Amino acid sequence: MLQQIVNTLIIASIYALFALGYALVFGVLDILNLAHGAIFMAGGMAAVQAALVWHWTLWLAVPFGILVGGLLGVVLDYAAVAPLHARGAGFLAPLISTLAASAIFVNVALASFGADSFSFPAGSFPDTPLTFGGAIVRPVQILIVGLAVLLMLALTLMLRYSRLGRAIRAVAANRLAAQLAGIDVGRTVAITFFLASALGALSGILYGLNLESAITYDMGDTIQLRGLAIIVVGGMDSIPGVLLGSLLLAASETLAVVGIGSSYRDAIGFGLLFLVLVIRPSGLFGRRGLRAA
Amino acid sequence: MLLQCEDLVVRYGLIEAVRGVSFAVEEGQIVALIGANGAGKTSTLRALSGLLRKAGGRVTFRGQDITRAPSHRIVHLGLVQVPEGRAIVATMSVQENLELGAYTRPRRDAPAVRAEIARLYERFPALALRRRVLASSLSGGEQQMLAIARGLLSRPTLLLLDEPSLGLAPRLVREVMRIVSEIRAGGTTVLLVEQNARQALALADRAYVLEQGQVTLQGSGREILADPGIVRAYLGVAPAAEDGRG
Amino acid sequence: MFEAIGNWLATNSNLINDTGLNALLALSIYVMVACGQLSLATPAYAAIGAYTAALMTPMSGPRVPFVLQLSAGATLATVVAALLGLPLLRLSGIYLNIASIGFVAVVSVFFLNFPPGGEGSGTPYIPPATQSWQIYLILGLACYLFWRLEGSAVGRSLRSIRQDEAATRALGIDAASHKLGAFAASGLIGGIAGVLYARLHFQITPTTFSFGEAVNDLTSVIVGGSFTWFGSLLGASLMTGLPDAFQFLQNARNIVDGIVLLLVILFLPGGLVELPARTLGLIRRRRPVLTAPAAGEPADARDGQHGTQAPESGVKIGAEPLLRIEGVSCFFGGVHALEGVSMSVRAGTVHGLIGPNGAGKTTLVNVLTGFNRPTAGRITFDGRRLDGRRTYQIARLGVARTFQNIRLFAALPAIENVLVARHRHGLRRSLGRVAFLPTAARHERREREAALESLRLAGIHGDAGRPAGTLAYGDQRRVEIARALATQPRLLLLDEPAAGMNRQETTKLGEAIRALALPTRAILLIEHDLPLIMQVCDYITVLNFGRVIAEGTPAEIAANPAVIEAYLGHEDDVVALEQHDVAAL
Repeated sequence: MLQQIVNTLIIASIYALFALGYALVFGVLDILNLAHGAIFMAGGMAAVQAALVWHWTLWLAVPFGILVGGLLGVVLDYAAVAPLHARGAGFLAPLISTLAASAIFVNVALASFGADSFSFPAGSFPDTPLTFGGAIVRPVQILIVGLAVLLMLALTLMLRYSRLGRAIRAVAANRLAAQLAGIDVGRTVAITFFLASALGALSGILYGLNLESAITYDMGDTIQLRGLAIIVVGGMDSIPGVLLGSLLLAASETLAVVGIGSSYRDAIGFGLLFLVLVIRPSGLFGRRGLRAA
Repeated sequence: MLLQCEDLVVRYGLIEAVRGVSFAVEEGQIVALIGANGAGKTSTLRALSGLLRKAGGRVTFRGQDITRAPSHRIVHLGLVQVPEGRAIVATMSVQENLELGAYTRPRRDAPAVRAEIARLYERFPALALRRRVLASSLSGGEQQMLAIARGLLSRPTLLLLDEPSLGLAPRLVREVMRIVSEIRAGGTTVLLVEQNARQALALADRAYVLEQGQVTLQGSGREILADPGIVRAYLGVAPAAEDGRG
Repeated sequence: MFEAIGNWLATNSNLINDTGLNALLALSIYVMVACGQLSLATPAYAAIGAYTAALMTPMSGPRVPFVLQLSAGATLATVVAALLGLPLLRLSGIYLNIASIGFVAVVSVFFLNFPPGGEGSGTPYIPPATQSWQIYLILGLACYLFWRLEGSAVGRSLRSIRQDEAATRALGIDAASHKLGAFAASGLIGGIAGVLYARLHFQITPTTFSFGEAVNDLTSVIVGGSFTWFGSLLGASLMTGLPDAFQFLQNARNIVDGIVLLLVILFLPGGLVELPARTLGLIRRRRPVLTAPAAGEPADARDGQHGTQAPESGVKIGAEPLLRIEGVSCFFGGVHALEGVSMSVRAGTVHGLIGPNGAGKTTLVNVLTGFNRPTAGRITFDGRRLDGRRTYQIARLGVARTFQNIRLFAALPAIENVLVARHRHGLRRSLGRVAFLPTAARHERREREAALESLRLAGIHGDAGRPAGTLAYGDQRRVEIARALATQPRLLLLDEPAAGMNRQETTKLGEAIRALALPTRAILLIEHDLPLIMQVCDYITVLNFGRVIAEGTPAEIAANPAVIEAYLGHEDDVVALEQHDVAAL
């Protein structure tokens, strides 16, 4: 039982870090970044390749992966999102352009690294499992949960108190008002993309550290849907919503695996999603603008 | 010469909204741009603030060429706009909206900013009452006050006001115009765009009439107010005297 | 020669079949995009069709006729699509898209756990039965239907829904049923494609039709051109054919797909179909051009009339009020937007509604037209209850409106804007158009002439064939009024029609509005422009803070102290330059 809770927390942490990326981008731009799953993959792939091919330690490979992910996000904004916004395209166009970018990223990875699955070299991270209360936890899993909590806290504080945070919230709430207040909107959006993608990349790396042979060119596919389910449930751009949504989803999946069988696990996300969309489309927290609380 | 605009051209796709507009604003003045909707007034202001690309012309502010400057830089230079429709951040409180106006002020100005906000609350007691309330629940007139107050917090040298009287009851329009007077008395130059020609012309030192994207008349406020063509086109005849029904 | 063609067809039969199937799948996506719903559920429909066919092809025992399989697969997919559409109808863009993506995943998981379908390893071997001619026959039929319907009332309605669904409903069109129909059509086409696929490719697994497939189909639609059915055909042909033609593209195929899609969406949003027109610098004109009156000619004084009789002099007041509003309240956003509002509007009158900003004027119009639900009170129009009815039902009863911010279908030509408003007369004709009936063509011609005439009468000087969004501001307002009039309403609600007009234009507008007040029709006019209100209205209701604070004739209102206090102020008390003693701000 405790093991189930521990597993749930670990999975929820990865989901939350990933879904935060969606929430940030949706908050400032009202669009879904459908290349986020590809960036999740890119982060994991960059880190693992650096570790395997260049023999970098995790201390180097992980920041590298995060950086690659973040930069891809900036490139994405510059090439596929900002130009559309400049000419006033609706919501359809950026959905399609990010889809296109996703296809490009994923297939470049496929062409470069093939369809194999990769793991971080054994021993990259201390591996002796710890036990407490009957549950087995690997050190890397403690790191995952710890990072998730830390980063969510940091993000909340940043949004509320820092100058950048005020700029992001202003742009998210009313772009014109932000512009008139002297905020460099384009730069703020680019930074938001960087942060969102860095978080997505990190969640990909952690995913790869948590599971064997997890990093493949198409690893973004399944988590993409889960991330969407989480933000829909949580209210599209609310951070506490992401937190709650992640826990809810992870818990449902764990219970479902135990109850119905693991092959239905992927459908749980949609089931939850559908339920929320039909009953309360604004999600559990509603659209309150990018708020930290 | 605080602001000089020469041969400004603004296009929306194939349509030229502004076709070679030139005007100047001296420090300490209230300058009015009047004209009907579609005449190009709002397009002109948006282009001045860098919200719209200028297809031609030159804009000089405080001696600097700001024709290609990005909007955030223009605000930093002291050219601040209170837009048509106010652009109030609906999901933030009145206080947060005001603080947004102080975004360009350096951190060390914080005590001065607080003092200014306090004074603004004194001047606009309706806002003070609703300090923590969501801006979306303010009335039109209160939102206009908030938008102006927010603009003032950016310490503008030149304040652009785009149709501040739009959608306001005549009683409130008077109030807004009084505020414009006060702003000028406080040392801020004002460029006022209005459909309410009578009010704007009564207030302005200098006025420009825009029609179909071009300046067709310019002069002092009083001169233009007296022009019979203007009277006919924009001010109409007082309703009680007209017998043209049916 | 024929032999050579025959040989080429034989050796490339796979390519030809795949192109046809991809075209069908693309059309399944297109039908949704055409009405503004980005539903990517097509792979799910295809999977349903495919598995149905697979299950109906037993290894032993009697053979099930192919036609039966097609019917069964198509029907099942259609039903599922309609069932999916029902709850999704009220979702907006992004949510709909997410839900559809999720649905594909769920169907995939379903088949993953579906023993008769072979679960994870997929179906057993399916003997092939599909022939190229069958694929192309069905594709041809689908294209024919799309072609005929595109220019019909149904096609127009779908296009206008894509532009602005709320404004479409305000014209009396049941947008929900149109969208549901699109869902069903999408399911039908997708299901058929699935059946054809299954009987061609020997095996179906749960991952055969996945999200990736939807992306490919969407790419075909967008790259080819999402504003016409032909675009899907073009896109599918290119996306399937080109990699085959250029071998080196094969390996980088998906990357190239992505790049092409990105380039198209950035630089050519209408798709490749528009490329010839764009490069030639032409704007496509399929409709007759409205000839503008000679330059300098003033707008016709009969602005806005549409097949109406000459106005009678003086004012006719009907015996019984046409519109009766009793004790209507509307509470939303934590505010009493309307509180106990009661008023009556008589036929043959122009009734003004004034009040400060936020007084509830537009809310009242929204409540009248079904955009908001009243929390109390009743509204009776022409003897029928209005409150509680849906927007399109109210519009069909004869209530038309314009919007404060002009809500034209900006990408559609002005003439189409007006034609959409006459939808209810064109639905039957759509089927007639499919069958190429001459009566349908005649009817269409007559409709066009009537629409052009009404635009001309409304004084539109621009080109009626150009996208309405490119017209001058004043013309756009007039088109919106002409569109509202085209529904032949008995109650016309005008929400700040004079916004942005100068004195001259406003006066002309006032004359036009007065001319519209026929004995059988009433006008409710919301305005801030007091001279206009005084010039035009027979009766005025004044709102403040959601309540009626005064009503009466213009003279009575102008003298009413409560109104003066709240709203009018003192007209001549302008703030002049002399006020130097004002404290600095």
